Amino acid sequence: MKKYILTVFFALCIWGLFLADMLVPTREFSQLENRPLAQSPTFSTRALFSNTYTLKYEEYVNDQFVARDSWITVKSLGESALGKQENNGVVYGRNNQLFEEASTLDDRQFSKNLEFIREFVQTYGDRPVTLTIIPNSYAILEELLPQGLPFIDQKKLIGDYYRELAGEPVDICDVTPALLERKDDYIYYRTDHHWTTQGAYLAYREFMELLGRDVVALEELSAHEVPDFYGTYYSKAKKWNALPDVITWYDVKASDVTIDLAPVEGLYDHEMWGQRDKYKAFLHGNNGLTVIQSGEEGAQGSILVFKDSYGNSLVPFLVGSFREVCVVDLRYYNDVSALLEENAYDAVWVLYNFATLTTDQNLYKLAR
Amino acid sequence: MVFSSVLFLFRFMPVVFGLYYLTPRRWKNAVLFVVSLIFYSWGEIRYFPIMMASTLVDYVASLGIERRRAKGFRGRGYLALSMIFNLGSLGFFKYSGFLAENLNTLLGTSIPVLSLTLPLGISFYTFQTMSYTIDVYWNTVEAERNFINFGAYVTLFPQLIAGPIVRYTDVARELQDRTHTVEGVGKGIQTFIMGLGSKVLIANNIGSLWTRVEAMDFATLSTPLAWLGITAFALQIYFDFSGYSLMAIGLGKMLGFDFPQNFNYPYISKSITEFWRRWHMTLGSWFREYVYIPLGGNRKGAARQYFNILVVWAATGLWHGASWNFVLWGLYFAVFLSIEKAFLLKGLEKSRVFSHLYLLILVLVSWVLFAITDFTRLGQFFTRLFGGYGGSDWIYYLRSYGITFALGFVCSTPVLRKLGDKLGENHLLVTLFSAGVFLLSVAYLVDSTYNPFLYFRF
Repeated sequence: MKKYILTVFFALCIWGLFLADMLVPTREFSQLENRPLAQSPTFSTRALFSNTYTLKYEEYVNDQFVARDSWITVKSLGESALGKQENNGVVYGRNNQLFEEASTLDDRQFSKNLEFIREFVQTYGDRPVTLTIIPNSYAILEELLPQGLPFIDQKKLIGDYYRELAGEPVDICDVTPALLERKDDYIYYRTDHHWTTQGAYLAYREFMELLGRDVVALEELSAHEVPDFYGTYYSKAKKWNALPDVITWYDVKASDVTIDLAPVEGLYDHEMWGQRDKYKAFLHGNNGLTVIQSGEEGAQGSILVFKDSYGNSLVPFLVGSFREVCVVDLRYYNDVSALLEENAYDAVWVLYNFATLTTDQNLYKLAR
Repeated sequence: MVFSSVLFLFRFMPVVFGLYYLTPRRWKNAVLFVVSLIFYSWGEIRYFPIMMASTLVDYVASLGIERRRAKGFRGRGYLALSMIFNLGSLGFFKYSGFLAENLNTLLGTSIPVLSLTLPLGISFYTFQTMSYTIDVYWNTVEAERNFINFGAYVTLFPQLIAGPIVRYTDVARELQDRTHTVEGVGKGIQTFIMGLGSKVLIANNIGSLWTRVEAMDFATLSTPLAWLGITAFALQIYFDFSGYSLMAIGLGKMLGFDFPQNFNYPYISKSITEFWRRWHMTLGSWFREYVYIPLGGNRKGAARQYFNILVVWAATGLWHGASWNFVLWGLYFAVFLSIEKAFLLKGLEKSRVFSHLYLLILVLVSWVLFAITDFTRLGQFFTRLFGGYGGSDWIYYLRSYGITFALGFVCSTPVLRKLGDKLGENHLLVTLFSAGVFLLSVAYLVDSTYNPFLYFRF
């Protein structure tokens, strides 16, 4: 009997999973992968002869495979068993810190974006423009990186960038020293590529000090904590023993918030705290133009912020200090010049994280 | 379609094997023919007419040869038809671009370089079908009269696209009449799983290290990392290729066929001569039977023998790819095979340690020639390999891939097989091991299509 065990097992596997695949209802969307899954393609002779049918069918089989997410966890376990310090491009650092592998840099987009910023500040030379490049976690938490794996030297590149702009009508708000000083605090998420709200606060403080204005102390705001945040690095690596993050958000009063002119409730989308992608709660995710009227006493002046998603957790602090905060995400907004011509802002802040600045292809809109 | 995919394992296999086992014996070959054509044309329907044409030409040519022979001729015309068609299509699809590029450089002409999609497995199946027609011509085998049986042989999906190169004589009897036993199927499954594991768990895994080293700037590589990289490549190509052969052999067994062995632990060899008796064995024997011996082999004097070796190995190199580095790679082996033939072999066979070191270093160097097609980068890599450059870039990779390397080394030797033989093939541990390898392989396959959209750079 023993000699048939493997045969029976194998037969059960292939026919069992085949049948299960047929019977289990298809999924529309994968929370884990944050994307719609391929659906059964419709057959046509044209699709067959152009080879698209077979291609789509294979995508469909792969995407809808029974217990897909669990197989992926098993693979992650296998990688750990092999002693790998990484999975799917995410590197496992010390103290449960996850990093994205970044050993080479294609600096073409980086240089292009520099020129767009230069054009922007030259065009609006009369406005008080400030630039900040937020370093990513691997540049600050160097001690937690696995030994011997080369990373891009972000700090040097950011410094070079700032020097390139010396003499242009732009103020540099370098937040790297402030972040380095507090690198032992919880300033970057372990399982996500963003900084924490505490990290964002450090940059807010630097910025306000540069402007010579009062800083709202963190202790004055009431904090709320959301546990069990598994971020994007976790989604990629599915590290079986990853330590989840805690998101902190602060009560800041906003009397009026509009996103692309439509009113929304408050600075946070509180529903998202209960979802997988909790970071999306900040400022209701990434949107084109968000205009916020502060409800805080003592808030004064107006500010325009060009930002990527790192900015989302920082903006609430600005709402505590500025009467009006305009937030623009250039990926979803085009009309920069009209905005600047129609409004006289007391401050303009270009706030990008390093990774976005090296890849994003929307900064040309600044120079248009 | 490839074996190492969810599509093959959980769609093609259940449907095809269900159909195949339920079909009465006399229709089994027809089923094989049809499903093999689907397997082959999946993803690129234009392959279908190419495969049909190839099958038809050799079918007709072989029958033609026999008809001419009955009339007292040898049937050279039909042989030539098959040769021209097979070598012609191989040449057209695989080498025309290479030829045009070289002619253009050499003569200053401007022959347009066509970018053709290479039909899947063309290098393998043209060699298979040619061997059949040549065998008929030599009268070592009778031509197959049943087109379905012949079609099933040519297109037989287990070995169609990546070997082993199964000659008609290997399976002629089984095509007519074969038995299917549960024991045979069980052995086939065991072999298939070992092949799948070799490919998915070892080759792909260790291969990712070479992929990363290859993407680096060779001018800054440390010597240890260069050696790690090329060792990774050596393991990758071995487990990839031998894994695919094992899967083919296993699938063959499940269908009632016995395919020839293709790899026999080549890295434990003590000489290049032995290495090539253990590496891609069906290709070596093909070149021996159909090129080396017809050229006169060793029967026409030493000078002619060395010339023959040179021709065979230049051709072997070129068979692996249309690029000069592959020719160089083949000639490299020709040189060492000749040296060993002349005087070195006896000494190597006696030595216990030196011969293994000799073989491993020579083979690793050969893989550098094989893996890097650009001659400038090839030179850079050799400089780093032998230049004694320091650096710490290898530490992380050694730590991350150390266990995978160890696994690869162990599986390159017959240790595990011997252990399995000792336990007996039906021992519960062997079964559990196989089942584990299968499930883990599936997990890796599913993960390879894992594609989280994280608007990653937001």
